Amino acid sequence: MEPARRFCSSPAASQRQGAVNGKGEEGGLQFNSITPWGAELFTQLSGSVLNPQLKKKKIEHATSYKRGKLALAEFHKKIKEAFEVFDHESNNTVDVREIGTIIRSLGCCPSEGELHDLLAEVEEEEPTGYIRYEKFLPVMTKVLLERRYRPIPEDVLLRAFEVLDSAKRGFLTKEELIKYMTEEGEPFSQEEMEEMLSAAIDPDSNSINYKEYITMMVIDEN
Amino acid sequence: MGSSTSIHHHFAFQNAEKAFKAAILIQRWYRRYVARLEMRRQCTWSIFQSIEYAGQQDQVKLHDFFSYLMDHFTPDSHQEKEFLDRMFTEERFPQEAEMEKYSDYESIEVPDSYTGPHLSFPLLPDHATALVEAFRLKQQLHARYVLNLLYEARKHLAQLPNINRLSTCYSEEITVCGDLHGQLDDLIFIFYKNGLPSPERAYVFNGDFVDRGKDSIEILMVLFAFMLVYPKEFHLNRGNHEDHLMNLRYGFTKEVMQKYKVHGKKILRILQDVFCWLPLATLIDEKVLILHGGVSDRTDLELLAKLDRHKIVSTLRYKIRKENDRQTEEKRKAHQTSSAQTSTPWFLPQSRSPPSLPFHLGSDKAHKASLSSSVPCSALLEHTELAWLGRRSVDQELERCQQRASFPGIWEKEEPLPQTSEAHTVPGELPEPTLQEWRQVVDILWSDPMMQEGCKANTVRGGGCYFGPDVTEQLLQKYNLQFLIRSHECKPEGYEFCHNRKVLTIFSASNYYEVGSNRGAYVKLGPSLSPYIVQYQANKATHMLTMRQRISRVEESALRALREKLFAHSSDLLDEFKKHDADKTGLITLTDWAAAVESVLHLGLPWRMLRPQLVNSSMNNTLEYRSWLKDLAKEQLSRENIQSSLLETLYRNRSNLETIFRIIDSDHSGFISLDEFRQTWKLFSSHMNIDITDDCICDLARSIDFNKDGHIDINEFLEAFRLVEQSSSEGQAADCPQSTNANDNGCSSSGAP
Repeated sequence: MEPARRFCSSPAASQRQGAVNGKGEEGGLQFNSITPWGAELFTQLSGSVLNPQLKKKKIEHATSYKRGKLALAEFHKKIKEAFEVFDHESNNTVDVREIGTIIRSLGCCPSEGELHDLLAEVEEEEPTGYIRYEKFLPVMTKVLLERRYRPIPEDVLLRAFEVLDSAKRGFLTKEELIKYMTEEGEPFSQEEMEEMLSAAIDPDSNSINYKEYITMMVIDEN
Repeated sequence: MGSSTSIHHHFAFQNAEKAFKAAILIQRWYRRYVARLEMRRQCTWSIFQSIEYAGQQDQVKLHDFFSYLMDHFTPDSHQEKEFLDRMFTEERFPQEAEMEKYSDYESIEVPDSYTGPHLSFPLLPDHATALVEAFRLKQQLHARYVLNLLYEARKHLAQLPNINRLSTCYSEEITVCGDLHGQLDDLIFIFYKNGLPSPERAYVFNGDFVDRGKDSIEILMVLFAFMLVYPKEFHLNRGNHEDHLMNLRYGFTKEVMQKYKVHGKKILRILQDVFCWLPLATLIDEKVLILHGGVSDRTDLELLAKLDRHKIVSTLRYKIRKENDRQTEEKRKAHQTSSAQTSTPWFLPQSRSPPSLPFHLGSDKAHKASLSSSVPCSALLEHTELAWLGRRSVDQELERCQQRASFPGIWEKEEPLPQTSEAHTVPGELPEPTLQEWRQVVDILWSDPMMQEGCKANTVRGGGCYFGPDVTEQLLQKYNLQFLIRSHECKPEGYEFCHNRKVLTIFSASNYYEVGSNRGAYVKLGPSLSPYIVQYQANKATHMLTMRQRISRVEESALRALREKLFAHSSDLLDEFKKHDADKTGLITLTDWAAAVESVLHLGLPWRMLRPQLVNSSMNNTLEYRSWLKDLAKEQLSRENIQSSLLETLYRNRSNLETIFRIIDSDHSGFISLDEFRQTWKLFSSHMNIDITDDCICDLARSIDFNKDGHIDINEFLEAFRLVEQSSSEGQAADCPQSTNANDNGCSSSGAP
């Protein structure tokens, strides 16, 4: 667990502790023999005795640590929930093909390439076609903590469409959309393309007014 | 010159790169959108499944209720005794002579005003086709023809073996269909898309034709009609819903009584018998075994082939039909009691379950027995009874003692079992179905495959087992089979392979949970025996919707059902919330909300993910739980003058209540008296520890008795409190079923196992 490392006996950590405690009376203590909470409490108490300013800082430190811990617990629960939805056999594994869905439903928006890299981290050495929860959890936790693969804001998305719409007409024809989505970037499969077309294309004009489309999709999401 | 071209190239390259990046961005974003939809779809599915299976577990609770009654209730008035008598009385099985009376259709006149289809026997293919067409036009078949058809169907079924054999040499193409559950649109669609049955086009329907859907009787009529017309090519297997006890609970009984007010009872009686005559399995080319549920590690095909399937009346309880009922009948009449029990009440779980099942037989019962019976059991056992004690389980024995202790006078002295156990078989006669045989049938009608190896009791359904790939392999090898086809479980795509493609689940009721919830499918087999699967979704409306719209619709339905369930547990939820709110602030965190809800409902659902749709009034990650519960109630309450806790209880026990009412209404009249209602409610609430005053019950009863004649129409009662399950009326918008887009260019096919 990440927070605990703050209290490990690394030279940097104990140095930091020593500095915080000012006078260094407890400099000789081995922090790694006390539980993280114990160490924190100790420094809190000693700090308050020595220096009221430091006490406030330490309490903030402690509270943010506590908050961080709660947030972490909440992350874990979220990840577990999403994972379990696809754990059809209730044996803490999911089909590797569902990992993309799980990761994306947890708020991340990776590209296919990034997804591929993530998969490499969670797969077994000998890929079995299944991903185990034990491997998935730490990787996913890190992703969430580091706020990787953030979703794309509306305006950025709009600009992307505008790039493809070189003539700045405000729309793309069906053929153009198909061409870009199936030939550029990380191409869509036929199914993906058809599905997107069914909602995006205005059958009368056979084109997609991308601004309206984006607005509609964003409303759907919420 | 050179520099301008290189600049040009540079720009061109930059533009291409931009386009590439833009495309990736859009694709990235779109894929996330789709993934979130997929997650919602999966969550919705989980909701439906968990609620469906939780409902099946209610059956167990129902048994508990009656067990409780047996243990604790001593009737203190003659009326009460009679009332309970009726509840505990077994249904008498129509004997051969009675069957004739029930099948008497000739005396039924078909009025000139009747505009529905006419049948004449022997049936011709044209009749069967005309029947399909008539039903498609929403006509109803006259009771006379229904009874006639059932009579003929029964005759035909009775001479079929338990396991029917088909050959692809004879019928080149065999189509296997799964559960239909009263959804006539799906059946019509299958015939439309695949073709009507014919000598060249064989069909096997793998059980669960009835219940839940609204056209069960019509489906049966069509299936039986084709069976009579093409006896060699058209085959039916029994499913766990071809069972009159299941029908009481899951809607078929109600449907028949609603459609056939005068002759419904007769129809139901014959059906009870016809169901018992349905074959248990079908075998194609000695290689592909088709049965409704699954198998277990003790499945014995030889035993299944040999047993007398007709005697297995219901897979819900082990009751044997005895040939010499006539003797006991006469004795009963002589003693002028309503009826004698020669086995435990029909709705109680007998000692049928594998040892690992958590039913409350065995030690619990023994304990209760010793508490409640004032007379030691041994004193009641006579010499003759001791003689056959060895054949019965101790549990059943104790139950009988309890009965005698609680209800003096109702039970006569036990008749010793007729000497037709295996040990005393008269040569040439079939032995009575033993517990072992009964279990064999339960296993093949109720089991589900699982991923893990082994074989364990199916606690979710309360019968049959979960069987692993090793069990499948063992069975296939033992009988030299290639693969199994079974049904029994709804699948989003209408079919699913498992156990290394050795087990195929095929489910033919599309939109089973809700319009758009799932596809239906059927499988075709040719001489090569490689399965060719066709999917469909019998509703034109969904065809037009986008994926998002389809998912939203189904989702909304699932959420409605879930909110109803939450409301039904309001009191428990409040208690649980309070535990998380030690400071009595009236607020709890959303994390605590999720934990509390799961601990009360036990549905195993992803509550955090569902939270945004169930709780829309949260701020800063906290929730005012009381107002949330109030909002839930507002959605559900239809009558403000009824105590809300009573309503909550009614909701929670809706399916049980309905079943109980139908049991009390033993003559299927659709009415119960006010007194009976009060009695039932009194018993029920004492069992459930509900604190409801007598006055409240009386108020309730009176408010339901709309025409003040002292009788309650069951359906009105259930309707009044919206306890009647909403029929999928949205589905009626479709005029002509369609297969989905993906299948328009042909059919989705799957290769050989």
